[in-house]
Formats: sequence, C-alpha cells, structure tokens
Amino acid sequence: MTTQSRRAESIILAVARVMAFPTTALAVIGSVWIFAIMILVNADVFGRALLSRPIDGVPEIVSLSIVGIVFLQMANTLRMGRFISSDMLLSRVQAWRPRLGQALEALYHAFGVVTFAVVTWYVTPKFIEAWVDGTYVGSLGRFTMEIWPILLIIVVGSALTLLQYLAHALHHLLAAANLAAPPAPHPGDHAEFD
Amino acid sequence: MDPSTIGLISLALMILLIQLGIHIALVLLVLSFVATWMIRGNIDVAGSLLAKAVETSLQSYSFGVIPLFVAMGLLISVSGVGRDTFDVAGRAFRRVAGGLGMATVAANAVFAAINGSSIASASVFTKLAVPELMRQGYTPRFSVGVVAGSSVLGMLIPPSLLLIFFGIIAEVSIGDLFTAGILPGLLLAGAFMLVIKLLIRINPGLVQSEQMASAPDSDTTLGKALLKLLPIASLIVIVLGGIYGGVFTPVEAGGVGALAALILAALKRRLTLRGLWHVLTETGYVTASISALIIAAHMYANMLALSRLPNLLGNWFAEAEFSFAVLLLIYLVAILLLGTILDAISIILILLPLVQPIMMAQGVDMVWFGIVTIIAVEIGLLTPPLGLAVFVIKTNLNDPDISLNDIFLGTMPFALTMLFVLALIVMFPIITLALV
Amino acid sequence: TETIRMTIAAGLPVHSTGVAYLENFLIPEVDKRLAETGDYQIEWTKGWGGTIAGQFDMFEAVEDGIVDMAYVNTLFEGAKLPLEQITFVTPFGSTDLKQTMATFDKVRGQIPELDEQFLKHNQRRLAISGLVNYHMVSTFEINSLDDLQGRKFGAPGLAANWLEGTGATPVSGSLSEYYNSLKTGVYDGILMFESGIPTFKFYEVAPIITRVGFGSQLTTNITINEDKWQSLPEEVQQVLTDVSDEYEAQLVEATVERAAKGLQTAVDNGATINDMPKDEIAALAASLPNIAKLWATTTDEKGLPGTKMLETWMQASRDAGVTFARDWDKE
Ligand code: NA
Ligand code: NA
Repeated sequence: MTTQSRRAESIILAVARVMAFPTTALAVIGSVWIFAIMILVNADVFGRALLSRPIDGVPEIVSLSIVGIVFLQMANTLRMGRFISSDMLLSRVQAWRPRLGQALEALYHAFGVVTFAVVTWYVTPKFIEAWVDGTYVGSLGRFTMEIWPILLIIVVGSALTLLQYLAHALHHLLAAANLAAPPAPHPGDHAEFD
Repeated sequence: MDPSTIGLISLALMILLIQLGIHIALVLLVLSFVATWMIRGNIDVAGSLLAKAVETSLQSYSFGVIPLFVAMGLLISVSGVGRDTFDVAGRAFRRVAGGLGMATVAANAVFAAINGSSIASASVFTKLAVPELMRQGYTPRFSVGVVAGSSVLGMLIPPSLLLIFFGIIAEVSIGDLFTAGILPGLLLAGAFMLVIKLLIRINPGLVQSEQMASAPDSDTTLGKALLKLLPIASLIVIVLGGIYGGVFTPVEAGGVGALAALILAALKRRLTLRGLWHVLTETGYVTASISALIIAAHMYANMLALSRLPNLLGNWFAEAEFSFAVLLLIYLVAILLLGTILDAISIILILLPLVQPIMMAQGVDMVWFGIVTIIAVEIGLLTPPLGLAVFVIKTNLNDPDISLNDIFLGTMPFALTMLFVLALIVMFPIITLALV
Repeated sequence: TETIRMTIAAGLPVHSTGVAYLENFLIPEVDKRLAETGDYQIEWTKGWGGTIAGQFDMFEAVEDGIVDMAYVNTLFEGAKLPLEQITFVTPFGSTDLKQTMATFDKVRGQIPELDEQFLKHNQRRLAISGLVNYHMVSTFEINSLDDLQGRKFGAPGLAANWLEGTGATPVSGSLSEYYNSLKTGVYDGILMFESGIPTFKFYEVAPIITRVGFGSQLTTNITINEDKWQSLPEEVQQVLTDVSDEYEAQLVEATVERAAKGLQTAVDNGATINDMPKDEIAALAASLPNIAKLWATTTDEKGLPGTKMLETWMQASRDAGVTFARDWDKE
C-alpha cells in the first residue's frame, strides 16, 4: 500500500464517518414519523367510527408528512445504495474494465451533486417565503398547519443528499485512480426477514 | 428549437441515460430541468418547476399512506404469517406443477380486494412470496415476474385508486367501474395461472431452476393447515370488513392494515422492538427510493406537457378521421407506448381528454372504456424503461443478484398475458358489463 | 405577423365547464380577434387536467411563470388570498351567482387590496367565476336539525365550518373520496354544489338532496402572469381583456344553467329533493360560531383589511337586496 493510497483510504473513512451521523439521525426521525402517522390514521378512523370524533386535518397532516418523511430518509437511502438504477451496462463495464466502471460511477454521482444542488437552491427561497408569510394548509377555524417546517426539511434533506452524492463520487473517483478499493455495491445493513 | 423537438430529444435521451446506469430519478430530473429551461428560455422557470415537483408531487393522502402499505407487507413477512400462508398454499397446490406460482396469483387476487394500489400489492408480495418461491426452487426471474404480474390485480379488482381517478376525470360512476373491474380481474388471475401451467409445459427451465423442494410440512393435517391460515384470514376480514362495512376508506386501510399486522406480529411473539425498528428503517428506504421516482416522473410529465407534444398528438388525432376500430387501436397503442415511459396517472391525464369526446360521440360505453384503459395503462407498470411495479419489487427485494432487467424479463410473459386479456375484453365487452 | 407563445393551464379536466369555455370560447375567440388585424398571433400550449400544474399548485405556477395564464381555484388559496374567501365565511346569503359576482365587483372598487394581493403574487385577474349554491346530499332524510346528530359529512375546506355546532361531524376529505365513502357508509352525507351532483353521480349512492342554501360561492379566477402581461403589446392586452369579460359573462350563464339541470338530472335518476324548513335553516345558521368575525380578525392581524372587507361585503349585499340568515358583521 502506497502512502498515497493510505491517505486516500483514510479520507474515505473519515468522510464515511462524518456522513453517517447526520444521515442516520434524519432517517431515525423519519422512521419514528412513519410510526406516528400509522397511529394518527388509526386514531382518526376509530375516533370517527366509534366516537363520531375524527381528528381534524389528518389528510393535510398525512399529505405533508410524506414529503417530510421522504426527504428525511433521502440521504440515508442514497448512502445505503438503495436508489434505483439499471445495472445492465454498468455491471458489464465493471467486469470488463473495473477502473472505467468506477470513473463512470463517479461521473454519475456528480450528476446527483448538481441535481440536488439545484433542488436546494430553488427550494430555499420557497422556504423563506413560506416562513415569512406564514403560509399554511388546511382551513381557518378548523385546522391549519404552517408549511415552512416541511420546506425546511426539503432544504436540509436535499443539501445532505448532495453531500452524500459528493462523498460517493469522491470514493468512486479515488477507486478509479486506483488509490482505494471500490465501495461495496450494496452497503445496506438491512435486517434479514424470514 | 421548437418545444416539441426538445420534448422528442428528451425522450430519446431518457431511454439512453437510464440504460447507462444513472439513477433513474436523476435522469428524469436533469432532463426535465434542462428541457424546461430550453422550452421556456428561462432557468428560473425550470427551477420553479423543479421546486414545485419536489414540494407537491407527493402531497396527497393516497401517497401519504404508501409507507404504511410498505410497512404492512414487511410486518406480515416478519410475523411469519406469509410463510404459513404459503406453506398451506404449497400443500394445497402440491400436486400441481407450478402450484406455488398459482398460489401467489390467487393470494394476490384476494389481497387486491383489500387494497387500492398495485404499489401496495407489489410491496407486500415481494416480501411475502419471492423468498418462499425461490426457496422451493423457482427461478429468481419467474419468482419476481409472477409477483410483478399479479400485482396489477390490485388496481383492477376493487377498491382501486386508479379506477376512482378515471371515474373522476371521465365523469363515470365509480361504483359501476368497481363492479366492472371484478370479472376482468378474475379473468386475468385465471389467465395468469394458465400461463404458469403453459410455461412449465413448454419450458420448465424458465420456471424451476432445480429439483423442486418437496412441499413443506407433509405431516400437516388439514386442521393444522387451517389454523395456520387463521391469522391472514383475520387480517383480510378486518381490512375487507372495514372497507365494505364503511369503517374506513381504501386509502385509510393502509394505516389500519399496518397496525393490524403489527399487532398480529406481536401476538405471534415474532416482533422484538429491534425487529420493529428494522421494519421502520426498511420502510424508509423503500418509501424514499419510490418517492424520488414519483417526484421525478411527475416533473417529467409536466415538462412533456410544456413541450406541446401532447397538444400536437391531440390535433393530429382530431384531424385524421379514423374509423372506431382504428381509433381504438391507435389509442391503445399510444397508451402502451406512453406506458413505457410515464406513470399511470400521467397517461390518463394526457390521453383521456383527447380521446374521450370522440369515443362518446361514437356511443362507446364509458365503463367498458374505463376498464380497457386501466388494463392498458397497467401494462405500463411492467414495461421498461419505466415500470413502477418492477421498481417497487427491485427496491423491496434489495437483492443485488436480481437485476432490474431480470425482473423486466421475468415479467414479460405476464405483460403479454395482460395484452391477450385486453384483446378479449375489447372483443367481448360483456366481460366488463355483465355485473354492472 | 408576430407570434407570441402562451402557456395556459387548468387543474381541472377540459370538459369541466370553466375549462371547456377556455378551450372552446376564449382561445378561439382571441385567435379570431387577433386575426382581424393580423399583427399578432398566439401559439397556445394547453395544459388542462393538471398536466402542467395541479389545482392546488396553480396559483404559484402562475406566480413563478411556469404557466402564463391559468384557471386558478382561489378557494384553495386561503393562506395567500384570504380576502377572496369572503363568500365561504358568510354563508346563507345570496343564492344568485350573478348577483354575488356583481356585488363582488362593486366591493373590488372599494377595497383595492383585493386586486393588489394578486399583483403581490406576480399576476392579475382577468375573470372570476363561482358556484351557484351548496346543499346537503345524503343517504338519510333530513327534516330537522336533530336528524344531523352524529352524522358524518364530507365537507371541503372552509365549508366544514358550516356544520360546526350542528351535531354533525364534518370530515375533511377530497372530492375523489366522496362517492366511495358515501357508498360504503364512511360518510352519511356531503356538502355539495348543485352542478357537481350529476357530474359525480352522487345520487346513485346518496339519493336525498336537502336544499339548504349555503349560498353562492366565488371559487375561481382566470389570471395571467404579470411579467407576461407587461411583455404583451397593447393590442393583445386589449383583446385578452375584452374576451375575458365575455368569457366571464358566458361562463356564469352556463354555470347557472348547469346547476339547474344538475338538480333535474338527479331527480330523473331517482333522487328526491326536499327543502329544509325555513326555521330549521335559521336554527342551523344560529348554531354556528361566528366564523366571519374570526376570519376578519385573523385577516386583520395579517395587515389586510379583514373587518373592513366583511363590513363592506355585507353592506353591499344588503344594498343589493340580499337577506342573510345571520348578520355576520353585526354580532
Ligand atoms: Na384493489
Ligand atoms: Na413502463
């Protein structure tokens, strides 16, 4: 192992450590939120059916929540390699010219950096506007919910996804330069279900 | 450049870029962004469209319960109820070649009666059926194919979010549409089973990879088998009874079903706190990757509308004076073509307003037309490059050894079967209208 | 001839009345008038049925310039256009949509903030439209207020407030869920506008229509992006203004006719129509909290003339001969 590749490996390790905490933390919030939505929907259904007392605003809350849940999970889902793509060509290139395959992967992930940079850039003013104006969903006198927290989650989630794309791109780039081992194709730590 | 030319180029690029292996959501987002920028000549408009897609594409109650349907599938799987069901099904069908494949179709038809979307069906049955099918020696391609194929029953057999959507857009009685979907749904399920039988007879290697594992639990008595079915039966009774008894809507059924499955898993002592946590984490992955696609596909459809391609198609349709048969054929081919690249709702939004007035002028029964449309649209769930049911299975499966293309290939016999059933229903409208 | 590109969109499908009149009247009529001088022509990109932006995003889509012109459902924009919600917070008034629109026009002259709110969101309105009247459509008979006890009603947005205090439970669901929810019994009834009853065939599952008369509601505007507007030659601006006025006039006629036909279609298909007794309507109105006052105060707090709007609106309506079941501004 050369000094250069040792340095490259340690950079990759450091980046992975730095990314693991915030992506996992947001995903945990997202997972708890899913559970909360399940409880809420049931409380509404049974409150309405048994007590004639539905919970106001459940459709609005659930509709907005899904946006929040998705953007809280986005970066971690990417980190776990769970974004969907067609692997027909890429797997062949990987077998034929491994370093070319890594270079392509680096380029593809650079696409992600740009895309989520654009998302972050254009959603940020929407968040500020909603915050300043107090934009809400629902209807006055019954249930209203301000939307800025959801937009904030989109901004934060997109920015983190951008960084995660950057981390992946860096790793693939170093692998293409033969300075590091390529990332495992599916780093997921999912549980085995029977 | 003319906007419609930009739209056409974006279509070609999409097919290419997806094959190159870029994340599919990225391909759609980048192409929509650049194309909108070129069409409207303003980068901020493209940015606003992107922001709008991100913020609003998912904002509906029906999308909101997607994670709950996903969680329900995982919980059924964790609780062992799925395994039990397939043990029994395997026993019932053990003398039949391809029995467990048929059992998958049959179980999907039943499950279709308690949920309104194919995404839910595909999520649940990927966890439920695929591992068991493979364990019993079915090829991976066949295992995922039969799950993808039979997941379309979820939208055809009522309740169905897509039929509700069609009813609203076309102003047709949703109740009639629901009733009209029953027989075609059963017919399709029967046709799927027949195809499994045919596949085995023609080329068993397509279906079975090795010596079939012997049917499990050969000492199981009938009583024991029925006891094993009790949990899944009670789950079905709760959800079906709740929907048809007026306790909750098909959308809300996702929430109730998930909680019921959770309680079931807890009662069976198969769910630790840690297990529940894994279910929620996995639900998060599946939800996020599917939702990223929905957002991107939504923006892509917006961009296509801005490119005037649908307008031009409509003008061409209106100006050429086709006979009814030709018109219907063009309509169905257009759906199938759009189905390769767009999601179901976008296709209906784009095509239906163009064609419906012409069809109504011809005196076509809109209920029949609705079922024909839905089946054609649902074939698109199974066709590359964009096949939502296939994506759902891919992400739920999370098995690097089964590629996206494996799933598309495995699904092909079932997509062709749908085409065949579609032709039958076009020729014999009575199949849809008998119960209405 | 100079060609101008114009993207026009609606969240509703093309056969819904307001959008059909855009497709079949406004667009061809604008084309025809521009052709008379031949200086300009418009190349339209049409995005009906939510293909470019949906009902809930349309206002913002015009603001951002994603679309140039649009059919905007202002009733969903309570947060950004609070003043436009006036008819929803003052129910039991006029049931004559034409009169309601005329009154609103008068009030527009007195309250400049109404149109300024559109400009603040980078657009201007070209035409207004609305719904004739709201009633109860239910699976059970309603003769008195007592019959509503414990019943579940699907009610959209601000209209849910019309049931507050009646003993009925308003359930906020979307239009798409109404039919199935009535059929299975998740709802016992819905609050529905007249023209929507035949459109969605609610009489199949809820055959009893009780005429309550919650009143005419202003729900929709045709708007155009302000930057686009400023970029247009004066001749085109003039044609758009003229044709939009005619569109508004034609559309309200069609809406009124469609509403009347709608009730008839329901009867022809086996629905029964009852009138809620006058004193029961009065009791219903009296049981509600003063939603108008609450709305006015909240709107005042946002720095908009909520109270002034309420008073001006009520007075203008009374001047036009409308009697409300409740004087919302005077309590
Ligand atoms: Na179904
Ligand atoms: Na497809």
